[in-house]
Amino acid sequence: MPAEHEILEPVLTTGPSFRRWALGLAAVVAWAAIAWSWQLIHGLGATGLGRPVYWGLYITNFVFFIGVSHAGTLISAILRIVQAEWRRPITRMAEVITVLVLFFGVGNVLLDLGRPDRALNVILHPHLRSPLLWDVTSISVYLTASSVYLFLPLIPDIALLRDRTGGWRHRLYARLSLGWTGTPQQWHRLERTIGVMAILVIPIAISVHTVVSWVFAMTIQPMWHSTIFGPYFVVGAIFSGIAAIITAMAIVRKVYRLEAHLKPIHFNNLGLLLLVMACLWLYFTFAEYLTTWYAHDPTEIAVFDAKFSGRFAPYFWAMFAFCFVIPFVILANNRTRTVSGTVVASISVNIGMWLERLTIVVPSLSNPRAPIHGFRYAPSWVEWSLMAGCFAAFTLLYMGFTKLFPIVSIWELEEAAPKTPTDHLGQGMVEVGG
Amino acid sequence: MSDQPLSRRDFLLFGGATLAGITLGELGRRQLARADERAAGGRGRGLESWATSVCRECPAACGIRARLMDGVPVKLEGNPLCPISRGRLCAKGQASLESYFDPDRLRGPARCVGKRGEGKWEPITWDAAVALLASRLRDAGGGRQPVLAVAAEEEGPLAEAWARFWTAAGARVVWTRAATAARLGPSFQALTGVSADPLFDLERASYVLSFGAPVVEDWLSGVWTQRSYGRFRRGSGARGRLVQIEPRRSMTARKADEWLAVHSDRQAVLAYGIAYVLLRENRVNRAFLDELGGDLAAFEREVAANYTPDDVASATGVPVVTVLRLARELAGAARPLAVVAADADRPLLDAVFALNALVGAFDRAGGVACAPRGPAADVEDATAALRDVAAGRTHPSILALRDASALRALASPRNLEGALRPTDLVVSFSPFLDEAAAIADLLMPTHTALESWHATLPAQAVALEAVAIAKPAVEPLLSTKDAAALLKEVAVSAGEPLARACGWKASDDVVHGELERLWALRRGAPYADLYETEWVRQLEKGGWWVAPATSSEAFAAAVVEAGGWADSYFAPGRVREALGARPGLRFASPGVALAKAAAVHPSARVGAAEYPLLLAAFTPALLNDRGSPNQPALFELLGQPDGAAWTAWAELSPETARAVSVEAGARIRIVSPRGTVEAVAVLVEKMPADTVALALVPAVPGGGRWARRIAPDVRRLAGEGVLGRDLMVRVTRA
Amino acid sequence: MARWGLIVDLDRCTGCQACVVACKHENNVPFSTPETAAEGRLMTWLQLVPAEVPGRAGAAVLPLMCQHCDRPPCVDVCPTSATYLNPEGIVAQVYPRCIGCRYCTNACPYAVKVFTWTKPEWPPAMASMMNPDVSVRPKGVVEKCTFCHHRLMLARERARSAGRDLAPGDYVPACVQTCPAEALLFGDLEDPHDPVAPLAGSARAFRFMEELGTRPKVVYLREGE
Ligand SMILES: Nc1nc2c(c(=O)[nH]1)N[C@H]1C(S)=C(S)[C@@H](COP(=O)(O)OP(=O)(O)OC[C@H]3O[C@@H](n4cnc5c(=O)[nH]c(N)nc54)[C@H](O)[C@@H]3O)O[C@H]1N2
Ligand SMILES: Nc1nc2c(c(=O)[nH]1)N[C@H]1C(S)=C(S)[C@@H](COP(=O)(O)OP(=O)(O)OC[C@H]3O[C@@H](n4cnc5c(=O)[nH]c(N)nc54)[C@H](O)[C@@H]3O)O[C@H]1N2
Ligand code: SF4
Ligand code: SF4
Ligand code: SF4
Ligand code: SF4
Ligand code: SF4
Ligand SMILES: [Mo]
Repeated sequence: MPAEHEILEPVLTTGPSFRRWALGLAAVVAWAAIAWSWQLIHGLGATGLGRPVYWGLYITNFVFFIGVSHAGTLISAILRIVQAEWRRPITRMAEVITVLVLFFGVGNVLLDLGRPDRALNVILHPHLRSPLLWDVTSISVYLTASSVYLFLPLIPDIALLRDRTGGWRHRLYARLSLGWTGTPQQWHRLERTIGVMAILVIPIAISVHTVVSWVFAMTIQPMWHSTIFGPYFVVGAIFSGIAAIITAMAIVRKVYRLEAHLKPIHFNNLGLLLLVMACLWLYFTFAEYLTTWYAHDPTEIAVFDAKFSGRFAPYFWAMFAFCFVIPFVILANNRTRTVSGTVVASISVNIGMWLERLTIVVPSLSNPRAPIHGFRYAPSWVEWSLMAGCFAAFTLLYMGFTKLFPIVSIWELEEAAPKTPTDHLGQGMVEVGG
Repeated sequence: MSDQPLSRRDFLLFGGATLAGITLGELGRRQLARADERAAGGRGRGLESWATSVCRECPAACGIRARLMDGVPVKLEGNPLCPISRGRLCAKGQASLESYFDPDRLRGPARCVGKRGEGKWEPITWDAAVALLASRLRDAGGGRQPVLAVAAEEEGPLAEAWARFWTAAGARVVWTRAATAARLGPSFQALTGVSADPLFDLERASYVLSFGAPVVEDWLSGVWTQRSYGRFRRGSGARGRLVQIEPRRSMTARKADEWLAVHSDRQAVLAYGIAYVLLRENRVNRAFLDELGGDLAAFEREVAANYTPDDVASATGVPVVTVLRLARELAGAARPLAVVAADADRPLLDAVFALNALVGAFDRAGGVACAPRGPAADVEDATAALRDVAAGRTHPSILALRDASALRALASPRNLEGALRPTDLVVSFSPFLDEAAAIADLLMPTHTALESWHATLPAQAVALEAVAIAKPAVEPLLSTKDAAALLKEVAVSAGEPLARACGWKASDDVVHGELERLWALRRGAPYADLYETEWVRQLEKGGWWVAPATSSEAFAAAVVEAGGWADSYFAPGRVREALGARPGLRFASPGVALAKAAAVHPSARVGAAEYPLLLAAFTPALLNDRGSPNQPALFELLGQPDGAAWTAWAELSPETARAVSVEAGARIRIVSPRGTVEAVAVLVEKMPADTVALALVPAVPGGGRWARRIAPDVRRLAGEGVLGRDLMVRVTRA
Repeated sequence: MARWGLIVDLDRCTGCQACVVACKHENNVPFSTPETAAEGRLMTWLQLVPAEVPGRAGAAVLPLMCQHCDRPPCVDVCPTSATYLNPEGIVAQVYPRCIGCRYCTNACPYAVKVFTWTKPEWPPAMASMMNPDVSVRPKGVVEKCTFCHHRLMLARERARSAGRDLAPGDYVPACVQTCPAEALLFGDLEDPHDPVAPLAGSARAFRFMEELGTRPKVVYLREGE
C-alpha cells in the first residue's frame, strides 16, 4: 500500500533534523524546569503578579490551551458525524492535539497554584459550588473521553504496526492493540464505539469550555460577569482549535511530506470553516462589547476603556487584527485562500486568540470594582520561561507521538479509497451517520 | 575585608565595623541571640502579662499597656486608665513597638574612628565611653568653651535632670520645640494676660473654623484630639461642623464639611476679614466684649481700615460671599471656636485668638480655656541654635544630642557636618541609627521607651494636670543605658561641680523624687478609670482630697502601676479672672498681615516666571519626630489613601498637572532655585493651581534597613538652605 | 448564636490609620518594602481607600477590611472550602487547606484578600514580636481580616474560666480597641442590647457596594447631618 508505507515510514525512521529539533525543544523544556524549580522555591513571588492582578500568564495559557483542545475531538467528531470525507487524513492529528494540550491546560493551573503540593485538596475537600471544581470535573471527563476517542481509531493502526515491527516496538504495540485481529466483529464493535464516542464527546467538549468561561462569568467582576461567556468561549475555542489543526497540518505535511494526503482541498475546507468561525467570533465580540459600552456601567466601562483606548489597547486591537482582520481578508478571497494563505490566517488566529484570553484575564483584574490601588502587571522571566516550556513540551510530545504512532489514520484513509476491499466499513459509516 | 575599614554602608548593612577585631555587628548579633533566647527559648510561649508604659513618640505621652508573652512585648494598647489616651493609641503609638524591636538599633557604645560622618566605628566599653565624655567635659572646663545640649522638648523631672546635668557642665541647653499648645501660649497670654497655655474644647464646640490646624491628624495631643473630634462630630449633642482653611487637602481638609484652600501666609488676612464682618454687622459677643473688651475700639478701627471683604477677597482668593458666610456661620453657631496650627506664625495666632475673643469663646464649653499648669519656663529653640552652628556663628566644643529630633527638623544635617568640624565631640544618646548617629563621634545609646522609666508632663490639651509615670515594661534588649544613670556616671567621672549637680543615681531615683513631690501635694490621684476619675473630681470640687493610699510608698506603687498621676479637678473661669484683673483684652495690631499676604503672591516674587508655584511643604502626621526613624509599618502608610507608600508624594491640582502633562501616580520632578527632588504625583481637585504641596518624608540614607529605603531625600529641595514656606518651585515630568 | 458585626462611623473616623498598624501587629502581617509595595504585594488586612459613598460629594476615606459578607462571593468559588462562612457570621480562612488558587481573591468584589507571594519574613530580631495567638501564614495561601477571631476564642476562654457568658465588650478586635476617634464599634448584630444593633439599622448606616447583594456585616455610618 503506498499510503501505508508513506505514513508508516516517518514513524519508524528518525532523521537528523528531527533530532536537532527535539534537542532544541528539550533544552527549552529543561530551562522551564529550572524556572519552575525557582518558582517552587520562591513561591509565586517569582511571577509578576500582585494585588489585584492575581491571575496572569498562567491562567491565560490555561484558557488558551483548553480552547485549542477543541481542535481535535470536537471538530473531528463533528466531521465524523456529518461524514465529511475530507476529514480522514486530519482527524488523528487533531485528536492528538486535544489530548496533549489538555495536559498543558491543567498543567498551567497547577503552575498557578500557590500550594501545588495541596492540589489534591480539590478532591479531598471538594466544594461543589465552586466553578473551579466543575472545571476539574469536566476537564477530567473530557480528558478521559478524548483519550479514548483518540485511542479507539488508533487500534487498527497499532495492530498494523505490531505486524510490521519487532523488538520493543512489537511488544508495545502488541499490548496496545488489545488483541486486534481485524475480524468483522471487531470492526463492527470499533465502528459502533467510535460512533457513540463521537456523539458523546461533543457535549463534553462544549461543557468544558463553557465551564472554563464560567470560572470568570460566575464572579461579579466587571466584564467577566457575562451571560454570553459560555458560547463566546466555545466559539473562540473552536476557532482557535481549527487554527491549531491547520497549523499542525501544515507542519506535519511539510515535515513528513504528506502532500499526497493533505491536499489543498483540506486547507481550503478548513479555511472556509475558519472563516465562518471568524465571523461568528466577530459577532460574539461585537455583541459583548456593544452591550457593555451601551450600558456604560461605570465599573464595566473602566475595563472597556482600558481595552479600547487605555493601557490594554495595543493588545486589544492586536487581538482584533489577528482574530478577524487578517484571517478575514485572507480567507474571504479565493485567490489568497491557498495552503500558505490558510496557514498564515491560522497562525494569526492562534496569536489573536491567545491575546483574547490575555485581554479577558488581565484588564478586568487590573480595573477592579473596589477602589484599591493597582500596579502594572508585567509577566516575569519565570512566567515567560514556563510558557515557552509549555509550548516546547507540547511540540516535543507531539513529535514523540508521531514517532510512535501514525499521525494520519491509515485505515480511515484506506477505507476512503474506492478500491478498499473491506465492505464492513461502509456498514459502520451508515450506522454512525444514520 | 578585615584590614580595610568598612564604609558607612557596610557598617549599616552588617551593623558593625571590624577595626578593633570584633565587629559591632557580631557583638550585636550575640546580644540579639541572647535576647531571642530570652524571648522564645526554654520556657515556651504562653505566659501573658501586661505592663504599663508611656508612649514617647510625641509629647502627648499617652499611656500604654504592653502585652507581654513571657516578658517579651508583642502588642501595644492604650492604657485605659490614662486620661489622655483612654485606652487608645494613634498609628505612631501602635508602631512604636517597632522601635524596641528595631533590628538596626545601636547595640552598645561605640566610638567613631576616622573622619566624622564616615561611619567607621569601634565598639567600646561603657566605662571607656563614660571616661571619654567626662574627659572632654573636663577639657571644656565648665563652660569656658561652649557646649550645646539638644533634646526634644519635654517637661518633667527626667528632662530637668538632663537640663541640670548640662547646665552644670556649662552647656547651653536647647530643645526641639514640639507643636503643642505651648507654642500657642505667648499669643494667648498677650491677649488675655493669663499665665498658662490655651486649651481648646473641641469636643463640645458646635462650629469649628480651623486655620491650618491638623485637627484629625496630630494636633496638640494626637489621641486626645482625635477622640475629641469623634465626639465633636458624633457626641451626645448635635453634630459639630468643621471648616478647614489650609493650602493642601490634608486629611483634616478631607474630613471637613468645607475646605478653603488658602496659603498659610494669607490665612491671617482671612481671619481679620471675618473679624471685620463680625464687628461691622455687630455679630460679636457683646456681653463678653462690653465687660472685658479692653482695647477693642482701637482693634476695631484698624480692622475696619484694612480688612474690607473686598481687600480680603483679593488677597486670599476667597470670594466676598464666602467671607461673609463664614462670619455669619461662626457668629450664628451655639458654641463657635477658631483653632489654629501650633506651628503657625505669630500674626495668624493673634488673629485666631482675636476671633475667639470676638465670639466670646473664652471660658465656656466648646471654647478656649487656660491649662491648669503654667507655661514651661523659657524653652530655647534648638533649630535656631543649630542654624547658628550651621552658619558658623557659634562653634560648640561639644554637641550633645539626646535624640535626632532637632536634626530632623533641620533642612539638612549635612550642612551641619562642615560647621561642626571645630567641634571636639558630638555625642548622641539616641538608641537608634538615626540622623544623630550619622554625625556623632561617640554613641552612648540609652534605653528605648519600653525599657525606660518615665516621668513626663504630657503636652497640655486636656483640662487636667497629669504626670505620666511608669517603670520599665521590659528588660533592656541590648547593651543600652538608663539616661539618668549614664549622666550620673559621667558626672562622677568628670568630678566637681558636675558630680554635685546630679543628685540621683538613676532614673528611678528621679521618678521616685517626683512621686514624693506628688504625694506631698495632697491632691490628685493615680490614673483611674473614667468613673473613678469623675468621683475624685467631684470630691475635689468639694474641697476634699481623699488620700488614694495610706503611705507614700503605697501611693508611689499605685501611681506607677496605673501609669501616672492626674489631678482632674479643673476650675474654669481663669481667663475671665485674668481679664478682670487688668483692663480686659489686649489685641495685637492686625496691621502687618495684609502686607505679608501680598508678598506671597507668586507674581510678587523674584523669578516667578521660572518658578511659578508656591511650595506647601508638610510633614505627614505619621512620621515621628523623636523615636526610631526605622518603622516599616509607618512607611507603608505614607500617602494613603492615595497609594504612595514608601515614598514622598506631591499634591497638585489637575490643571497644574495637565499643564506639564503629568498623570496621577506618575513621578514628577520638583525644581527649586536651590535643588531638585522627585515625588509621586497625587492630583487633588480644588487644589489652588499656583500651589504644589510636598510631603516632607525625610530620607535617612545612613539609617536602618527600612529608613534608608525611603527615597528621595526631600530636603535636597532646599539645597543648603531651609525648606521654608517661601520656596518657589516648578514641576516637570520625571 | 451571635452574628458579629463591625460599625465604622465615617463621621468620627479621622483616617489616622492606627487601626491599620494595630491590625498588622496583632495579626503578624508581614511588612512590605518599596519594591513589594510597587509590585502590588503590600500585605494588609485593612487599609484606607478613597471611595464614593452615599451622602457625600467627592471620595470619602474608607477603612476597608473584609466585609464578612453574609453572601460571600469568595466562599462560593473556593474549590476546597478553605474559606467559609462560620456559624457566627465570620468569613474564615483555613490556611492549611488553601491551595493558593486565588480564585477567592478575584471573586471578592472588595479586593480585600491578600496572597502570601513569598514566605513571610521578619528580621531575626523581630521574631519574638509575633503574636503567639495568630499563626504566621506560609507562602502560597490567601489571608485576610478574620475579625480577630483569636480574640473571640480568648474572650470565650476567659469568660468560661470566670464562670459566665460572653458579655458585650469582651470580644474587641485590635483595630476597634485602638481607634483613637472611637469610630469603630464591634458587637453582636443580633443582640438588641448591643449598641451595634441599633447603629446598624440607623438612618446613617450603609453597606459598601451593597448593591452587589453581598450583605456585608461591616456597616458604615455615613458622614454629614
Ligand atoms: N446616704 C448618705 N448620706 C449622708 C452620709 C452618708 O454616709 N450616706 N454622710 C453624711 C455626712 S457624715 C455628711 S458630713 C454629709 C456631707 O454632705 P454635704 O455637707 O452636703 O457635703 P458635700 O456633698 O460634699 O457637699 C458640699 C458642697 O459644698 C460646696 N463647697 C465646697 N467648698 C466650699 C466652700 O468653700 N464654700 C462653700 N460655700 N461651699 C463649698 C461643694 O461645691 C458642695 O456643693 O452627708 C451626710 N449624708
Ligand atoms: N471618699 C470619701 N471619704 C470621706 C467622705 C466622703 O464623702 N468621701 N466624707 C468624710 C466625712 S464627712 C466623714 S463623717 C467620714 C466618715 O467616715 P467613717 O466614720 O469611716 O464612716 P462610714 O464610711 O460611714 O463607716 C462607718 C463604719 O461604722 C460601721 N457601723 C455602722 N453602724 C455602727 C454601729 O452602730 N456601731 C459600730 N461600732 N459600727 C457601726 C459601718 O459598718 C462602717 O464600717 O468620712 C470622710 N471621708
Ligand atoms: S498621640 Fe503621641 S503619645 Fe499618644 S500614642 Fe500617638 S504618638 Fe504616642
Ligand atoms: S483608627 Fe479609627 S479613626 Fe483611625 S483610621 Fe482607623 S477607623 Fe479611622
Ligand atoms: S469582603 Fe470579600 S473576602 Fe470578605 S467575605 Fe466578602 S467577598 Fe469574602
Ligand atoms: S486561594 Fe485558597 S481560599 Fe482562595 S479559593 Fe483558592 S483554595 Fe480557596
Ligand atoms: S477585625 Fe482584626 S483582622 Fe479585621 S481589620 Fe480589624 S484588626 Fe484586622
Ligand atoms: Mo460627716
